[in-house]
Amino acid sequence: MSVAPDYAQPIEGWRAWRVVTGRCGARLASIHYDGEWVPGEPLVARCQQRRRSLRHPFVGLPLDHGAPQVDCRCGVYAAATRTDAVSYATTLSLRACAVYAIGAVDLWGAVIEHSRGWRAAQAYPKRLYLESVGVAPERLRRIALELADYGVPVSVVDGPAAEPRCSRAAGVARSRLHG
Amino acid sequence: MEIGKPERVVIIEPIEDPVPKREPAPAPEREPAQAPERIVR
Repeated sequence: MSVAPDYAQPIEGWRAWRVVTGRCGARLASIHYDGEWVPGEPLVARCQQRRRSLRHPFVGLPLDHGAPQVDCRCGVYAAATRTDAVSYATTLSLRACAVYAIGAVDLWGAVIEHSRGWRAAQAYPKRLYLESVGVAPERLRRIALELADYGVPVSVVDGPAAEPRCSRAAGVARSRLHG
Repeated sequence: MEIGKPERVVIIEPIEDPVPKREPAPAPEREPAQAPERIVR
């Protein structure tokens, strides 16, 4: 028996990414994990936590559940405010001349609501703001052009931007816990 | 990223695809075919 969804509109959150350069130009990448966000494709969360195993004591075995799970830490993370996303990016030890992006993301699928953000099954950028430490403006503009492959607005930030707060999806929700 | 404690789980199924559609690359312009050169002997 199928279950009706709670919302029909994605939730909008805020994220930070590293900006990496490859054969196809500038791309968004997770700050902590390997792998890039592919333009035109949603990011689908996969649990990368591992459990202890006597047979594989050093590597461990992958946890066998879909992401996100309430009692795990997996999922695509997003904060409720741009400030939290910026704080996350700037408190990391990003080396000088690093380029990173702050942006709004659409979240959908199974989404776990936290007190200051969300963990989602799928996500895609909605708009991007490029920020950097010690990077020439010309290089930033070139990166912004390459990030246009994602099909979303890209802006280069010169100073602190306004603080919009992302809203949760409208409508009446039926809350339930994962089994 | 610190996002606080989990509160509830919701299921979202967007009516419209959140991923922007990418326009297909324009087809390259093709030069009109030219008649082969005839060699008259």
